[in-house]
Amino acid sequence: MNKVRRNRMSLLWFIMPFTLLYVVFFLYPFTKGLLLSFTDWNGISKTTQYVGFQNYLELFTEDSRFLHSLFVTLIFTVLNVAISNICALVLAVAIEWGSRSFRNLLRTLFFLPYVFSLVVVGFVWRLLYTEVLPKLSEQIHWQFFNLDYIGDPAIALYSTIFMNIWYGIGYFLIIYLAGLQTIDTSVLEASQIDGATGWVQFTKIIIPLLMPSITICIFTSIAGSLKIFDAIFVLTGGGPGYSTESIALNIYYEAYGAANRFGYGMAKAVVLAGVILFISYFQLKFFKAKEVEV
Amino acid sequence: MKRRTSGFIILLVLFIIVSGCGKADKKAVESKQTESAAPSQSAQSSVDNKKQEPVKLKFLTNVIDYPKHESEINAALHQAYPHITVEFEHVADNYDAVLKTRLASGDAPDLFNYPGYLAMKPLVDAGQVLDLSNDNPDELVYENFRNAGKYNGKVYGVPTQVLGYGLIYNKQAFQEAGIAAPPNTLTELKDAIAKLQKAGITPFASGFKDVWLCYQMFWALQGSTLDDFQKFYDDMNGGNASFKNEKLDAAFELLDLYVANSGDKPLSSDFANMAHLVGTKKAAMAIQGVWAYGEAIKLDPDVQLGMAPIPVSEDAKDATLLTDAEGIMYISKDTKHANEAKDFIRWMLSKEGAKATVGDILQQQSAASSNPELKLNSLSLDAAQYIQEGKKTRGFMINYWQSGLADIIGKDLQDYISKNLTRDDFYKHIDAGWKIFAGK
Repeated sequence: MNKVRRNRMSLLWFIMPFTLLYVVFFLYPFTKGLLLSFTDWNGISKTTQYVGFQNYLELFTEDSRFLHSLFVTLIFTVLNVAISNICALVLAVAIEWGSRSFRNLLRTLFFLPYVFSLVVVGFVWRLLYTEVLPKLSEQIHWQFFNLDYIGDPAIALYSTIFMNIWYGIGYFLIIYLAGLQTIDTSVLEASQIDGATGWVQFTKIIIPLLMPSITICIFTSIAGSLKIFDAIFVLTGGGPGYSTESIALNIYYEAYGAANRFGYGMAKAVVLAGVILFISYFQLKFFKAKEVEV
Repeated sequence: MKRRTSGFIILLVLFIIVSGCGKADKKAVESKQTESAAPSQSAQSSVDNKKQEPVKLKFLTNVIDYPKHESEINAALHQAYPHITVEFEHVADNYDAVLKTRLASGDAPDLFNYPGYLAMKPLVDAGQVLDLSNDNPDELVYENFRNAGKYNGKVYGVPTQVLGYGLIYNKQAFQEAGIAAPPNTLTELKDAIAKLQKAGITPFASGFKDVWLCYQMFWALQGSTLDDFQKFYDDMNGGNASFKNEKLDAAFELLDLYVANSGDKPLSSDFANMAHLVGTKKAAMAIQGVWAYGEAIKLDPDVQLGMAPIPVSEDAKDATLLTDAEGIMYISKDTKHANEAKDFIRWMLSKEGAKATVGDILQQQSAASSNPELKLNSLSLDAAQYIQEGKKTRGFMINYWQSGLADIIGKDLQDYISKNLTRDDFYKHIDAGWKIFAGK
């Protein structure tokens, strides 16, 4: 009995290196951040004061800018997750069962944007929205191309969503393609003999068998969208006004901007972490339950 | 069960070790602080003993041209101080955030640029800057601009440049449209706009995509219509004042004219775009500072630009050029080379130093009282002449706003420009913003 225990203890030493890294680079900063969210630290002073739950109270009752950024983030998330995944799934099916000779080329083309840094992509799209599309509109007289894509508060958010979908779709496409390739063709053949046509095959066989891929894609796109920062920061900087300010940007401006309210920014970050945890938990639970095996 | 407990204990121990490390660090920093703060003489004597030991100063700056010309600056610096070498680091976006992160994480540069007047309050309160009062830096600076580096009666910063901010115009565009002189009243401005439109030139270039251009635009409106900045600051802190007043409200007509006559996408244009439009005669005017010159002449180096006062009412006497001391240098309290940093500051304002930096590189006016020879660009030249003639100037309003408010003003002004916010609501928002920043 004692030997077994010692054996198990020795096993624990094997996870020490990683545990150390985990504590230093994750657990410690996280706890420190959590503690700071209860202070009024301004980011530079050497002393801080504990203010209890005041930060949390303020952000839900007085801070309309934070609540607005929450709203912006939710719109971004819903549209980005839905459109990215539907488009990626449809494209994956089209590429897998469509033209086989161009499969590799198409896969590469769709994945290409993802290998660039989102910052570079942001600058390119800024140029597209402000210079290229208006010039194009002059030539072909399509008023649609002459919209004020990043300067009109009513459109700017959708412009950032569009860019983000264009950027991220290749990543989801690759996951869906990999998922599709694991589906046994004999299952599809059997269903064909039973008289199932394209749509029925897609909804009754492909989708359920693809559920693990869908779970992963939805999970990563939800978490990514709720934390969205770089795409918006580069393209619009959260503007015009506050129209595209996501929670992550709001936290950034609060903690690191001239506002100087690090403790308050930390409180917002804790709330954001809570929101992501809550949504991801139920999403995973929901989709895991739908996964099937042949 | 037991395995779990022991795992938990290991985690806990590790955590305590790590948080212990953090605290020890902090103490070390603090003790270093008190050391360097109290007896500055001891540091002095120790440096005197090994004076010629080469020292490298790190200078975090928001002046883009210094790092580009680092070797020239060092060559000039070595003639006076062979043992001091300066290493510039330039940050454009989020300068505030970068600086504050550096200061907070104990990675402070030896010298850094930061706005002056009340803007330095958070840094001074946090004990991050060195008090220079005993080194008489005042005598290095023109009398008019000495206040820029002072707070609570002590000197913390030393300004290097004098910058103008006004109506930048393309002289050729004005000529083609038949405008004899830059407008001094709003009616004259409307005339000029009509003439420019007739000539097929967009009257204004906006740049309002950039938040900082928006709040600078609001400086122009508020600064031109306000006489006593300090009184405004005190009244606002008193809690019963408002940004709103009749004169400022009237000056808003300028912004409305500006927005209405700067193309159909004012909020898509950023600083570079604004400067290029004026520099290539696609637009005739912009309200901006002399620092726009470099960007404006990028596409057409031969362009003729001028700077005029900003018209804000129907009275030509109200037209104002904003001008203030900038490029204010601070020494970080954590620096190990306080004396060399002070020597460097003295050199920056000496006849040779000011010529080598502000004169030759930036081609702007210098704040140095040493009367250096300067080669001014056309915008700075106009500003200098205007100041010499003794016409109406005002300082930069941002120095009298609560720290952090500029960002709010810029974003709310964007909302005003996109007609998502009425002017009255705009005032209400920024008044409320002031209260938040004053209270915290």
